[in-house]
Amino acid sequence: MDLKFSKEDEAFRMMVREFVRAAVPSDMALRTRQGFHSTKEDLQTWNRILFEKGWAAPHWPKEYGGTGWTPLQIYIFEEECAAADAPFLSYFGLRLLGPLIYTFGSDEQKAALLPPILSGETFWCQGFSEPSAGSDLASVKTTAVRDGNEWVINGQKIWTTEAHYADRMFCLARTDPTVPPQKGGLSIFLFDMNAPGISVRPIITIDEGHSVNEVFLDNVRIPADAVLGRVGDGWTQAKFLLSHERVSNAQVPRSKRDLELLKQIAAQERAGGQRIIDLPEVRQRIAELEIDLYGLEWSVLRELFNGHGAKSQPIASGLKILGSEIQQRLSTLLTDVLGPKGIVLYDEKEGSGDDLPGNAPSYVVGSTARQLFLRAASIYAGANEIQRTIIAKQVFNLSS
Amino acid sequence: MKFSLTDEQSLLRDSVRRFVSEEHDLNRQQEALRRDARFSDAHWNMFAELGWLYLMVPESAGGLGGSAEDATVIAEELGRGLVGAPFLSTAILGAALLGAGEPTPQRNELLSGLMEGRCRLALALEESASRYEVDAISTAAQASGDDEIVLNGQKVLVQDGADADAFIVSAIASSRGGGISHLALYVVPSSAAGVEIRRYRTIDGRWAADVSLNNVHLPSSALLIPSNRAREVLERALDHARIILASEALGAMEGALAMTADYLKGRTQFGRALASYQSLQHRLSDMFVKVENARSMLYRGLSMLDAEPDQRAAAVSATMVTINQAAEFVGSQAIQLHGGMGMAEEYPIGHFYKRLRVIGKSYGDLSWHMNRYTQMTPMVEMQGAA
Repeated sequence: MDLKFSKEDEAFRMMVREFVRAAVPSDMALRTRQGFHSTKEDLQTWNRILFEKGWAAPHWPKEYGGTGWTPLQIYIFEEECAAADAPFLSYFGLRLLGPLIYTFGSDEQKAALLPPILSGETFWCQGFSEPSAGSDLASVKTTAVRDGNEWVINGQKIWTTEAHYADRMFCLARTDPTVPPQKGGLSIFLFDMNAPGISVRPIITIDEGHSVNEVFLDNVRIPADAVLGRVGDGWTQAKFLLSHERVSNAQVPRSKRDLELLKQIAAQERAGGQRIIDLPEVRQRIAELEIDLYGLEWSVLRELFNGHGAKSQPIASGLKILGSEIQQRLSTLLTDVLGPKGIVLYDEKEGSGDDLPGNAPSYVVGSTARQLFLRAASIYAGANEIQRTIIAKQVFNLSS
Repeated sequence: MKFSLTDEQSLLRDSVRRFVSEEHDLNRQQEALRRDARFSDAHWNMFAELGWLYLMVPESAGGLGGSAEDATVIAEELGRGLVGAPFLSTAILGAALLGAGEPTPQRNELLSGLMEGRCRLALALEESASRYEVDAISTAAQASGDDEIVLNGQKVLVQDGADADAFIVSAIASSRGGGISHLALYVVPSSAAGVEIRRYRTIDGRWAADVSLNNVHLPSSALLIPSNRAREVLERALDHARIILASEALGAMEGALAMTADYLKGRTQFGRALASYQSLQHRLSDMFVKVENARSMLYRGLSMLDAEPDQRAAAVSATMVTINQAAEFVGSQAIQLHGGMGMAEEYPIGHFYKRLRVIGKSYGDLSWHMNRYTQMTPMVEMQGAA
């Protein structure tokens, strides 16, 4: 075993740090720190800055615009971006659809669709979940019916993150109702969000924020070649997404940054004259989180170096479970550290300077909203219960 | 970074696995331990023949000069097999502390005996008031005449102490001239006049001892590590031993988990295999996640063993906190998922739990490690407002 970062890795970290810290505008950094859903403008701006540097999609193969970095270097880059309070780039184009296109797409699709994802010109949303197909994607009911030179899409999508930002959607639909979804009945379609027949309705989540939507697809007509790769490959492609993003669900870089901010705030909060961070109970909760985050980080490092061997797939599920739990615990502890101030939402509408309810300092802004929103972390990207079932199946060969 | 074993380490692992599958039987071991109050001499000789007792002895003293990482490979397999050998006491702690001493003829003779399996060692640190704090002791070492040392004190809960040939004893060294007293380490043969040993079993079926030192006169060569560096040497050896113990715990957790999964597949209730119930599947998954996370923390601990003492201490304690929490969950759930069978002494699963309980209280427990972690970790590294 070799359990140390190399000198080259440390030099790489310094190189990335120098660029990233200087490149993130300070107002953008403040908004990221507050933890609200990033604005489209911030996402576009940061995407453009990284694109110009050639760093928009380090995890892509070099021929499509990736950096050619090692998995560890990519991880270091993400850690440095999080530490500098850079916005977390839109997931759907860069993380999900991009890899789908360069893995399954035609040459024409690669040439036409990858560059605008890389540059941040085109925003995508993911049309997978439906009212009756959440964790159970095989139950998708949206249909795509061939009509001459077009497909006609009908159905409803839900929990569609950033649909209100998106220029385009990649949409899972049934193309052959006579075939089970797992055996060729599903396909993924790529189309413009301004096509006639598409309407987007916001869903306000319990943080009173707007990041997810319902999308209604009513006789949406799209060209025949708007299918990703081959008709009938939708199930394989959807499963590929599950296995492709093995470590990003762990969210280690962001949680490390959140832990740092939590400590800083706990050092400023007072009970009487005493710093909250000096209360033994708080110190212990912080220490437990820190230790669990080290474990998660080292599990990610193991995964980056193929240290899990054949267990890689169930490990991805384990990382998702632990990563989401740590995000939830961190955000909860932060709002606990705020004491009685933790009962106020402190969203953007309530001002952000010296006039906050409860005479609260500015660092409270966003904290309660994020704590509430992060209840979703154990639900999205495959509910944690689904992950446990995957582990049981893949490690112990058990089926439900 | 690289997380795979070297070829040598893989061979080492295979040799321990072969020993466990061909030579070791848990029930026979537990009976023999109860009867003989010591781990089988025949098996201990195999440890010597296979080179495992040479591993951590410095090359200058005829050993292999192996790394803690090498030792974790052995410990993990011993844990998986629940082998009740005094490996940690003798081959890890004994070798490390003797190896750190001056290369006197006495020390070299002890190390030869250790490597050949003739000499078993036990580390006598704990006293009624110390509770893992190595300097919270009152055993005293007084110089007497020109070339004698007299030891007085009461050591308790000395693991593997019941049949040790010699103890490594911590004591406060005081010179005749008075002055500041400091911790030092001494080698005390168990046969020395004035050494009284009270032997008893621990919950894992192994043996420990209380050791009374009543005016034990020893030659001055009994001083192993003098007070100017005893504390540092001891802390380092203990931190290495903790990580190796963590590896034993990991092997035991994996053993318990595999046995539990097999049991659920084989046992039928209400006309279905227990393994088909989702609540039980999810429990297994949670155990798996804890075990893998614990392994990641084992590697993190290993990576920090050569760091500065404070950083090393914080990292080792972080690892041990994780190991402790995982061990309690995995060990107790392994019993739970076995139902009534989990309670049977003749069935192995409870023995995993008992061994894990002992490991969790050896050279630090959950509270001790949590406290040491928080003390060694600066809570706020950055200045200024968030």
